[in-house]
Amino acid sequence: MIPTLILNALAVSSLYIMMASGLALIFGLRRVMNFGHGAIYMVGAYLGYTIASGMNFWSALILVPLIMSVFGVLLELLVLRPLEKRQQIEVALITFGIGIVIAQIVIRIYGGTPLSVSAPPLLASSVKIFGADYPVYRLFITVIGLCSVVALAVWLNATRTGMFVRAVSHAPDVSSMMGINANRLSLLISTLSTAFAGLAGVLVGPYLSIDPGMDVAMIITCMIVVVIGGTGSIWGAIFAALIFGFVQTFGTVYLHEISVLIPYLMLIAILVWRPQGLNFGGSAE
Amino acid sequence: MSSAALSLRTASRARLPILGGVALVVFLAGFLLPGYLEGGYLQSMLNNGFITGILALCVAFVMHQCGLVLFGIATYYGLAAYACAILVNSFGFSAMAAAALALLITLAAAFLVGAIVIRVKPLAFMMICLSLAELMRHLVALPSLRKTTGGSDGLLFMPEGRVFGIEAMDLLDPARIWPLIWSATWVIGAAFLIVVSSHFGVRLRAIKENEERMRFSGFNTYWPRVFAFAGVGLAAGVAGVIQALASGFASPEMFSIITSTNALLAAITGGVSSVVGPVMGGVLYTWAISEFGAMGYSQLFTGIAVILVILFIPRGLLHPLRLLLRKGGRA
Repeated sequence: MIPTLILNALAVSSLYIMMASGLALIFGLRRVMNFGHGAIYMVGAYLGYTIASGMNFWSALILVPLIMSVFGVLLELLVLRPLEKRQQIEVALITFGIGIVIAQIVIRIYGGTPLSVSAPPLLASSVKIFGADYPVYRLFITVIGLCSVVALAVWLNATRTGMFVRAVSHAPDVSSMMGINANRLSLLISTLSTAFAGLAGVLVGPYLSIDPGMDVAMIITCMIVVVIGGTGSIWGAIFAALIFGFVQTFGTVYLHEISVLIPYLMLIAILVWRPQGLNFGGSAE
Repeated sequence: MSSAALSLRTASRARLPILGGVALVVFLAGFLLPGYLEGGYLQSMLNNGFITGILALCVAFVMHQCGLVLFGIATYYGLAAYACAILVNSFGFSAMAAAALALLITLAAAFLVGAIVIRVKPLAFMMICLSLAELMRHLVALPSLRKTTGGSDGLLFMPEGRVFGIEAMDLLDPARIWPLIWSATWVIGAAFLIVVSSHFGVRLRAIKENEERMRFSGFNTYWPRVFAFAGVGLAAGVAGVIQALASGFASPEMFSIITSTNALLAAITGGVSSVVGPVMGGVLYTWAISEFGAMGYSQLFTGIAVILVILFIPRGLLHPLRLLLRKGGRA
C-alpha cells in the first residue's frame, strides 16, 4: 500500500513540478505571475487527445510541446513584452483574462464532457513493485518528470544561458548593465514554460481525465505551490510541488473527502509560520 | 456624481452642502424606484447589480486604500450567505438574528484571514485570497456536510420573522428587498467615505505609499490594514446576507472565481477611487452578463472584459471624465 502511494505521489508531483517550475521561471524573469498557465495546460491536454486519437500517443508527446511553445512565443511577444512597463498585477490579471478566453474556446470546440485518452500499448501494462501491481504509465510520468527536473537543474547551473537566467532573476538591473539581453532570455523561458505545460497536459490525459474544469484546478494548485515555495524561487516551487503531491495523495487515502481542504490548510499553516514561503536558495524578489 | 470623490477633502468646502443635498434627494428617490420598475426582470437585475456593486465597492476600497488586489471577495460574500442559511435551517434562528450572527461570523473570519494575509507580498495576497474562495467552495460541497450545507446543490432555507420591519418571506419579492439593498449600498458607501477621510484612512494610504517609512516613523503598519480587511469582509458579508434573504438560497457558486472576477472588473471599470463608479460598474456588468449569458457566452465575456478593461481603462470609465471636470487637476 505505502510503496504504491509513494509512487502515485511522485507521479502527481511530477506534473505539478512541470507546471510550477514553468510559472516560477517566467516570474523570475518578468515578475509576472502567468494566471493563464492552467489554460495552456488544458489546451495541451485537449490537443494531446486529438493527436493521440488521430495519430498516436507518441506523436502527441512530441508535437504538443512543440505547438505549445508557439503559445509561449505569442505570450512573450504579444503580452509580456508590450506590457513590460505596466504593473505586475495588471499583467497578471490580463493573463487571467486570456486564460478564461482560451479555456472557453476549448470548451466550445470540445464540449463540456470529460474525455479520456488510453495509454499507449507499450505503457499500458503493469509491473510488480513491492508485491503490488503498478501501472507502467505512472512510472513513465515520474521518469519524465524527474528527467525534466534534472535537465532544468543542469541547464540552470551548468550552462552560460542558465547562468544568465539566474542572474536576471536575482538582479535584473545589474545583469542588464552587464549586457545580458533579458528580452531574448524571456522569449526562451516563456517558450520553455508553455512547452512544459503542454507536456504536462499530454501526460495527464491517460492518467487522470480531461475535463473543462482542469485549468482552474491546476492554476489554483500551482498558485498554492508557488506561494508555499516562495514566489519566484524555482527550487522552492519544485520542493513545494513534491510536498503537495505527497500530501494530496496520502490525504485522499487516509483522510478521504477532507483531503480537498488539506492543500489550503497547508498553505495557511506555512504562511503563518513563514510569510515569505519556504523560499530556498533565494527568491526573485 | 453626488459623492464621486472618494476623498471628501478634494471637494471644495462650498460644494459640500450642494453635494449633500443632491445625495439626499437621490437617496430618497431610490426608494420610489420599484413603483416605476413594477418588479419583474428589470428589478431583479438591478438588485443583483447593486449586490455586485457592494462587492465592487469592497474591492475598490482595498485597492485604493491598501494598494492590494482583493481577488477573493466571494469568500466573505458566500460565507455570510451560508452562515445565515445554516443558522436558520439547523439552529432555528429567526431571520434578523441569523443575519446579525452571520455578519458577526463573517467579520471574525475576515479578521482572522486578514491577520494572516496582510503579512504576505501583494501578489501572494491576491493568490491566497483566491485560493481561500476555492477552499470554501470545496468545503460547502463536501458530501459529509450535506445535511448542513446542502452539498453541491446549495442550501435552501425559509427564514421566519421580520428584517427591519419587513416580513422575511416578503423579501423574496425583488421589489420588497430593494429598499434593503439600496440602503445597504448607501450605508457601506458612506462608511467607506468616512473611513477614507478620517485619520485612519490617511494612515492606510500612507502605509500603501511606503510601508517601511511608516514603520520607521513609529506607526503600526499591520493592524490598520487588518482592521480595514475585516471591515471590507463585513461589508461583503452584508451583500451575502442580503443575497441569501433575497433568494432564500445559498449556493457553492457564490464562492466561484467568476463572482470574484466580476466584482473586481466592476471595481476597475467604475474606477477604484470613487464610490459611485464601482456600484455603476456592478450594475453594468450584471446587465452585460445577463445579456451575454442568454447566448451562453457569459464566461467568455468576462474573460474578454478583463483583458480589454485592464488594457484600455485601468483607471476606470469615470477617470477621463473627472480629469475633464477638474481641468487637469489631481490625477
